[in-house]
Amino acid sequence: MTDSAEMYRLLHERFGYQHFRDGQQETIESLLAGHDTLAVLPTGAGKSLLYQLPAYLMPGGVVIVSPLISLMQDQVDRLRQQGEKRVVMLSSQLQGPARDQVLRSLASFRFIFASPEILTTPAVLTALRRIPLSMMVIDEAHCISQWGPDFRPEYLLLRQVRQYIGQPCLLMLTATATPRVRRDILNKLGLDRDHVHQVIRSVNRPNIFLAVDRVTNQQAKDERLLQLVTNLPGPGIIYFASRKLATQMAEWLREQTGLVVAPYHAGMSPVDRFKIQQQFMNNQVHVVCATSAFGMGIDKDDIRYIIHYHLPTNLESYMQEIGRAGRDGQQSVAILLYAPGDEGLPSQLTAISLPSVSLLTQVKNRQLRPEVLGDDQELFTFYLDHGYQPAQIISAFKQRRQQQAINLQKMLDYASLATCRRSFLLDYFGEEADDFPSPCCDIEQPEWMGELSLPEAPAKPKNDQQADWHQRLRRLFNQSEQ
Amino acid sequence: MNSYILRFFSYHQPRRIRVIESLLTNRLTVSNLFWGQQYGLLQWLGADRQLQRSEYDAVINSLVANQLLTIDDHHQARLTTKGVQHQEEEQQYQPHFLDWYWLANTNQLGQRLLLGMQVVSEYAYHNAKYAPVTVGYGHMLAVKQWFHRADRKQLVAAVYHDLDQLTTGLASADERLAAFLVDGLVGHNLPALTNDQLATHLQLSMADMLVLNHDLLLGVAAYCQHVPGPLQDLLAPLLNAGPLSNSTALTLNLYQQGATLEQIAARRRLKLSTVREHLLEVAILCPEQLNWDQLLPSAKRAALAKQYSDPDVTSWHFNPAGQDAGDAFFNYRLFQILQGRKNHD
Repeated sequence: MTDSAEMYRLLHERFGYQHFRDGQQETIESLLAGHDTLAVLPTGAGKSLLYQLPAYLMPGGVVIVSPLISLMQDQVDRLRQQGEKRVVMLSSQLQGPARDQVLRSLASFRFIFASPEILTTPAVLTALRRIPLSMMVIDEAHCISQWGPDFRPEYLLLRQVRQYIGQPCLLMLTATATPRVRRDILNKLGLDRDHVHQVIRSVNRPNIFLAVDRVTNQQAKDERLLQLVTNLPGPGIIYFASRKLATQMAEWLREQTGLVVAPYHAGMSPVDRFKIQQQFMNNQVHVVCATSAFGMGIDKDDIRYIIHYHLPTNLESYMQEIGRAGRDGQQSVAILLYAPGDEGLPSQLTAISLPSVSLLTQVKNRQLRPEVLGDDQELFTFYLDHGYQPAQIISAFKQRRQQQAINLQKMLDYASLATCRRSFLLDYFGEEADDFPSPCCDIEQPEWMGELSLPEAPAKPKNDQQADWHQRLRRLFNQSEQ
Repeated sequence: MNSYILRFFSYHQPRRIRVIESLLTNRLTVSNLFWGQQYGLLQWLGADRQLQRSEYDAVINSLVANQLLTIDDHHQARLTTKGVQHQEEEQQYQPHFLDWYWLANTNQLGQRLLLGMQVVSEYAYHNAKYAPVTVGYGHMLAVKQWFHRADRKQLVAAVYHDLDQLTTGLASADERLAAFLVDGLVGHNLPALTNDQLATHLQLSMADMLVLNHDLLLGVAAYCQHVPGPLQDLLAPLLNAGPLSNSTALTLNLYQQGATLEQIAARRRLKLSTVREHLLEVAILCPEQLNWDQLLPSAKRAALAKQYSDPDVTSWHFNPAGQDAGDAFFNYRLFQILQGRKNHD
């Protein structure tokens, strides 16, 4: 069978799709031809298929590096959901005898997920070096770039890691990368632009209507939120900047609307998060109050609205988060709520207090303990441990702080536009801004609330919680009534 | 505000906040155990192993800010009148299975049970493609092995029967235990409620929910210890043989065979002070295992009784006559434990 026929067979049989989505086939073919590949595809374009499918056509294992444990867990869950058993996640949560056992049997796994920190530990590197690897995947590759919004210094080590484990074919994945960030990714990984195949598609999601609601104060914001949640058909996600607020607002909305509203954030136990996800998938939860930057990975394709209660820190995050809406292609809406003073919040969250060069030098020379560097000591010691000079570190952080201020300003610009919001977003991501067909955004359609025709909310399933425990137990184990 | 922690403080007795934290998170030192016994809280050992220092401190601070708790200069806390009132309003649930506190780490037991029951539920519907509930890798391996060993033809019916029997037993103690267990289990196309949702559903306060959840899992552990079946097969590896740590049990065994403390230390290559700590642990957790007349002969007891006569043993201060090589403190502590227990009984 040719590669192409085999690709389609896998697509149908293993993944249950009839067609490739835009950009998928080109990326997979590039990888199978052995080219290092950078894929920039919009959220909802099916990025995990890009490495999952070729993994079945390659002789060795695949290592996937992902910045957040929750994101990895989602990918692992999805693979298991497809019936794939040869999948493992290496993170700091895996310890002791279980970890030793996994490392000894690493060759038996097809998919090896790892956090960047774990990937650089000697035991893991040694184990990886011993087994045949066909591909290394860097998920959320924009984290490599200091210009990217989620810059992670550990990602800078990936270039050496790749060399050490035998230079497997590289796939870099991201949903949002400006041309500048794309160049930086390749630089940091030591790749030559001419030898990397780049698959880039528009980040535009035409079925997501874009709106901003500027309110005068916090109370007006709450009222507006309540109005939106009451009137928009679900399911929906509301993003907050803090876990505490996500939890409190979930309770408030539940009381005010009678809808089933649940919080979802990294402060909850993995089991509780799993249960909320399952309820959301099953339409037993209508609205989820989540924290920004915390992914809900299991694909729910009929999410009708995404509301941001706070300003995200940058447009990349915003695109990622609103991209969860309308994956079924149906009309959906993204609303950003803004009250004067909101811009203070994200800048507080991202502010890093910079030590002086002399303090950093003293820590470097072990004249002072790293604790003097305050809350962000790990960040600074990472650079020191990896041979960066204090002056170099400070200037990089200053640059980064400036960049954060610029990012936030862009976010504010978006919130106060008088012209098409979609054109603004696409222009930011380096795409040709065009005229877009209606419905597009609230600039051309300020009365969108009454005009936009959103599909109806899915029917609520029968309420199992009404059943007594005898009935539920029978349902759990498929036992007939006695 | 979560008032769970209030349960462990008293209006009459000042209690050390760090001791309470250590008891809940199962950090067992002789000192923690001694104070735990004096507070009458040994049954709560390991009742909240997930508790983080920052979280605990935040709760204590908010209880103080709300005038439910006061703290003195020695980091001891007491309930205020308002605190007592609040406790009575918020804490209605009476646990049933705390005597089994030592039987299992309920957090681990809960995870393994959840995954085990999900696997059987999916199997009952002939589904092999699903995302398993997020639990530790060790649990995944254990459940996998359990499932492979099981007789598949019988498994679904046997698990159903086992769980039905267990739940019936729980329901006879408190109906809410039955609902909490079954509504919290993840199944095939059958989402489960989180503990917070279960609390709302059963009209339990958060404080009661935490107690009920721990109590429920101790009940499950006790059932599995006694009743053979698939649940026992699944969970038995997580059950402890007794309240003592393995090392302490070994020391006790040698002591019961007649070895002296020095001999035990030599044979087990332990410091003498460690052997003493082991025996103190036994004295607190399993006093009936020790021959007290041999351990603390009446002459020693009489001498100690003269020196330490206050019936409130928590007010004593160790005051050795001469140089102490550890032996005097050992005897003092044993006597304190013995007297303290008399008062407590």
